[in-house]
Amino acid sequence: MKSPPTRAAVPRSSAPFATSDFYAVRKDTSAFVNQLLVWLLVTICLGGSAGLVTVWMRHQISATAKANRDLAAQLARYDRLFGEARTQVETEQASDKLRHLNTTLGLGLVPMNQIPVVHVTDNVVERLARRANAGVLADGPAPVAGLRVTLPGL
Amino acid sequence: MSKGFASSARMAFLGGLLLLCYAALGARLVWLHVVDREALLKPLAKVRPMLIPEAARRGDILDARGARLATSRSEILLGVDPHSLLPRDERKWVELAALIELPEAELRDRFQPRFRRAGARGEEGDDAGEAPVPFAVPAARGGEDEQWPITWVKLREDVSESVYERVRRLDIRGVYGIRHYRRVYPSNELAAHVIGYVNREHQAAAGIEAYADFYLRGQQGWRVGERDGRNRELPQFASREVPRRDGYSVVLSIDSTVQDIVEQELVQLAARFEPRKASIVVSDLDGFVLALANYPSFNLNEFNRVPKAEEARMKNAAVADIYDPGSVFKIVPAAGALEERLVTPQTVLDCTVSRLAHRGRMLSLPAEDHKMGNLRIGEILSHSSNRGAAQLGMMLGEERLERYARAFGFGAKLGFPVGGEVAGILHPHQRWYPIDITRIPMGHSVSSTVLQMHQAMAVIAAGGVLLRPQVIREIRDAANETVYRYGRTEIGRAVSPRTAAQIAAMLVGVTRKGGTALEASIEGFDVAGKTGTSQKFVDGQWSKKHHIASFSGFFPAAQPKVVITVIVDDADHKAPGGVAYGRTVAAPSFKRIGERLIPILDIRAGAAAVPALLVARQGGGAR
Repeated sequence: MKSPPTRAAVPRSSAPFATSDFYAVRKDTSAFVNQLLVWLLVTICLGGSAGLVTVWMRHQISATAKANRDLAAQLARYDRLFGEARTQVETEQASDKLRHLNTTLGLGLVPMNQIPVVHVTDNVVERLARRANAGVLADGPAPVAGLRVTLPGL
Repeated sequence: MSKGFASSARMAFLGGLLLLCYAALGARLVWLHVVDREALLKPLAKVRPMLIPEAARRGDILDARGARLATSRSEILLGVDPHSLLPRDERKWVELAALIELPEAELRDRFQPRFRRAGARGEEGDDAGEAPVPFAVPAARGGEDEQWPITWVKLREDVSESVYERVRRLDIRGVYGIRHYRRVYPSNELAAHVIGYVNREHQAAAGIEAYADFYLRGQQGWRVGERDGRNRELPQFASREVPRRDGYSVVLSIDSTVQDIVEQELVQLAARFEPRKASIVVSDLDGFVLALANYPSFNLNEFNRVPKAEEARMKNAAVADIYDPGSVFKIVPAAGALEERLVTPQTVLDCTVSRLAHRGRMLSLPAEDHKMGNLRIGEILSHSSNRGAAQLGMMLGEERLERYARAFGFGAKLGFPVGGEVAGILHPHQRWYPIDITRIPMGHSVSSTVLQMHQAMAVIAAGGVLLRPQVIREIRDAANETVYRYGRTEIGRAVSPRTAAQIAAMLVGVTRKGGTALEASIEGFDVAGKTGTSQKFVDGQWSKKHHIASFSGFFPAAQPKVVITVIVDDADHKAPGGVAYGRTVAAPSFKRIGERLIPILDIRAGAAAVPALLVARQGGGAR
């Protein structure tokens, strides 16, 4: 029994329908267009993604650079404010201002001088304790105000 | 992939269209980046790049205890571009005027838009013009009749950071500030002649400011970047950057407390005697100056307000003016004669003789203020005998006397870094008149600065060594690390330690009973010193009504800690008896300064050391 010839075994010229070849060619062309479109879409996606990543990276670089610059500016600003405050403190501590305050506030601070200064050469704690005990144990009232430290230059 | 999708002609068309779009985009990009590149970059290259300078902070000048004598404060030069003002901000102008303490009418006047002709730049004065770099906006150029908008008018130049913050919060368009550093001297007049000042053009003009400017000024930084359409910096496009280097700090040997004591003393002297000038120098035994002050002085923060006629007060008279040293100079022939073994401390000289032969010529000796007799060398100093000093000078001879005078620092600059030091006058002995050998030993026919007199006395205190007077202790970088430390510098040896000790012992007699300056004695301490009173040369002759009173000394005599020199110029009209003697005018000042320095510098006459701050006042109950 003779089996009918397969489509592949049949010469193309002897194909029963011309449309068979047409479908084959069309299928090949469709494959190419399909591939082209797929690759195009992939390229678009990849290119777009790369572009977006680039833009995002550049934005991040800008943002980081700006943040760094802002931080540096902030540091410089604090530095300046600190300097201003320090200068103000130094100005307020000038000798003539302190003297003026001493007079205005009636503090009564006096310049250190050799004459009223006694160098305490023995143990200060013992000395103070001795004086305090002397006051406690004595019949009379304890002496008020023991040690006064004077400021240099006043 | 489905057949329907692949077979659609529309899809193929769409794909083709997309490709075409891509191709068009690519072509456009190539056009922009290759063909039109130069034409498009040219205007951008002009507008976008910006050079941003970064001002370095000038270093501080510190005293020996770390207190700031000069520092830099950031301030804002506030200005306005009247052409950028918006009507909606007008309601904020009142608040702005109050903030910068400018009358509202004046503020409104400055806010008026103005123009100038192209050829008339600078006619509007300092307060108006183009904005300082980097905010300059170039005006459209045209012919000579072109009107230039005035884009910057100064509102105030010393706005503090805190006030500027509030000004910025007002958000007035067109009002902006330019930051700069301004030199501030927190202690005002303190050590004005030593510190010097920086002028309004930011040029160091005098004093340590000028001398140490190399260390103090730092190095300005800059960066090249780009800006956007709103003139904001685009930090990501910064191409080159040179960081600023803040100036180094200079630590002085000046002690603010000592300096303040000295300046208070000068104020007292001025109130009491109304002298023409006065100077006080205090130094330690290594040649470092602890205090140097002159009267009159000036406020460093207001140096530009000193009237022209009074500019002499800005001169450092202690190093730039010369005086006859007077009897202070007597230590030179005495030390020279002892050093050369021509005399011993026990040698007695007849100080009653009025004429003596020298090199075959009879010379008349100078007169004495009071009657003298036979005096030992120590008594010649303690009684300040002119004839005794003349005889010592004659024993030495011209050549050796000149050599010793120079060895003690007279006749040459000592190398003090500030104040325009002068050398004084000490002629070579070949040019001396015959009579000079009798006058120079008593401090006449020779002129010196206050500092030279001070250093001559310091030679005795330092064991016979002439030290270079110094005022800078250290140079510190911005991180407060010491980069250079100055040390004791010897110029040369004048006399041996033995001779110096002998002279010191003799000078103690000056402040004891029978000496010329009991007023300089300090209880509990041996004070060595020498008074000086010299006539001034007025109207072509030596005046008997104008004197220079001086006292130079040190204590404790055996182990000196501090050398003090007081010079008062022309205090006769208020001095007791109408003559300003060193004894009556300068010596008491020495005593007052010395007494106040004892607790501050912890000077002691042999007691065990205790911490300087642990002092108790008798009046406070510490009995």
